Amino acid sequence: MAALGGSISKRYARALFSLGVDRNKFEQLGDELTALANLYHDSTELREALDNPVFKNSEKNAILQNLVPRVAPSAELRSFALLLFERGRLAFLPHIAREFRKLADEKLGQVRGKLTSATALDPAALSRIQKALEGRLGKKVILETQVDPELLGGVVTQVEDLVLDGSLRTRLEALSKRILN
Amino acid sequence: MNKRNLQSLLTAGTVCLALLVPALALASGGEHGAEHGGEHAAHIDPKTLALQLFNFSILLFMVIKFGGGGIKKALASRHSTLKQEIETANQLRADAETRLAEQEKRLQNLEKEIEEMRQKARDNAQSEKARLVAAAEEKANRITAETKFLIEQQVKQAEQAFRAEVAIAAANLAEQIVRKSIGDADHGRLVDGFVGELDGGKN
Repeated sequence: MAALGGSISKRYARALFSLGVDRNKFEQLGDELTALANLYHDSTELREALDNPVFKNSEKNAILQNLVPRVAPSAELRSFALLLFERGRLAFLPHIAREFRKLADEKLGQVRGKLTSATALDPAALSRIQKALEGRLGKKVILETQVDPELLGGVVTQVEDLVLDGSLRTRLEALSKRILN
Repeated sequence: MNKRNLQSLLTAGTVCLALLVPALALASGGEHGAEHGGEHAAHIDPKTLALQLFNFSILLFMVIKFGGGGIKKALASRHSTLKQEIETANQLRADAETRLAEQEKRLQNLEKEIEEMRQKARDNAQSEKARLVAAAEEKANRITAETKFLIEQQVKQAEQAFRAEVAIAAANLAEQIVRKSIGDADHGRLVDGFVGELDGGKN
């Protein structure tokens, strides 16, 4: 089921991405698609309303018509959302957004990664890490940051399959292993 | 009656006569002696002695004349018998000596066999003893090796457990110290170090 969902998501993502490239607005469409996917993912009420059989399709369509322009102003994305609703594929929206982002990143020559630090980093430090990663990978790197105090100190980055661990937690664990051996 | 019987009869008659004549002479002398017995009991009459010698000579002559062949024959026979007996005795003695030698030889062999059996028994006992000692030594060595191995394993396990406890304690202690002492400057240095490693990795 997951494989099938992945395949469906890729198909829809490629279609919208192709449309965005043709109209030279795939970045805008990507941002709007991400916003819409986050809304769908985060709003339990919206999901329940759209999945509830008590509401008629016309009512659900009206909800979408009213809601989508608030986060996705472009006509292409509004049509795309209604198409997904008509075909019963709204549940794939987060997956489609993820696939679209991959395609967009590939087109822009950039990668996304995650940076975890023990304390919140100031913008300068974040920028230095980002530049260092870009220098290492040869691509533009977009980092998603998060804080985990259990790291004690230092940072951990993950970009695609590359994980770089500079945390004190890992160093302490390495110290323990050295003592054990 | 043949000649041989006649000769035997004559021989017997001569012998009787020879015995009778001295007896008669002795009888006549006896009567005469009895008359004078009280005075001359130890007196030897030369005539009587001569007569006795004559009688004895006649007896001897007749014995030799008529009984010599038989005596010779009897003696020869006796000689032959004795010789045969001696030879038989010699043969028996030789046989006995042979048997004795055989018995002695057997006795010697028996002693030798007994000695060999004893030696074999001693050898067997010695080899059995050696085998038992070797088996005991092997068992002892095996037990020692197993015990040594077990002790080493236990020591290793104890060492490992001790190391683990030390490692955990050290890590916990270090974590506590880090939590208490780390500051913004330290975080900055850690980020610098991370960036430095990234730049180093690039090169």
